[in-house]
Amino acid sequence: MSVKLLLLAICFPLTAIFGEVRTYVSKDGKKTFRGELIEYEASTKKAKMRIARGKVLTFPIEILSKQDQKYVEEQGPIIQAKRSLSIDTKHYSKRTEKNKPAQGQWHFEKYDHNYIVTVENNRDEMLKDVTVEYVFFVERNRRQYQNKIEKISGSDTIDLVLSNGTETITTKSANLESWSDNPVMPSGGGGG
Amino acid sequence: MVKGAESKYRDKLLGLVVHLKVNGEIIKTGASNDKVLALSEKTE
Repeated sequence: MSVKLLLLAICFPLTAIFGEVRTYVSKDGKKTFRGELIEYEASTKKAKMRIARGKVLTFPIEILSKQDQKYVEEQGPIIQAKRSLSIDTKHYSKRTEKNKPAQGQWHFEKYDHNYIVTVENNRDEMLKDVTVEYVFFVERNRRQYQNKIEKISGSDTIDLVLSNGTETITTKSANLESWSDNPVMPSGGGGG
Repeated sequence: MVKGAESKYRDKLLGLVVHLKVNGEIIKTGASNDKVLALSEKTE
């Protein structure tokens, strides 16, 4: 793929998916273009890049400046790793407590929330000793304060994710509460 | 819920952020939703 064709790419904004969108310079330093590195094959020294309008081109990196060639060679494996792994989460919750308030008492309910985290390895090689670190973000609301952000951390380990395989972990539970504003009033008479 | 009572104080689960680490290095980050991921990046 010639430099000329690359540089004819229309300059529309790109949205990076895997690598960063950056400006690349031709070997002779005379021309530039913006692109996102998708893949680099070290054996053939060819890069696959997304340029303007979502067009994907594959070309030998020797047409790029030395600095850009070095960038592609360094970033290629990292981008490959990013592409090859995906994370999916599924949320579950259950009520663990609900009081039966007597007159003058507050009503509350408590819930446990957790997630099942699925790790998918789309690489040709297995992934060993993967630590899964997770953080719940909870907004606490009480009579004394509102919108207080709390982080609840946890971790687990996956010994092995086979190539083209998936593994799951279940997070620990985060406890959330719900409180009524008004205490229970005696029944009878009008209303309610 | 007691009829007539109003639940005004309710905790809210904003989401979960996940980091995959190999040899101590983060190789992948994900989240249950984009907002919590943005919040995580903002607070780190």
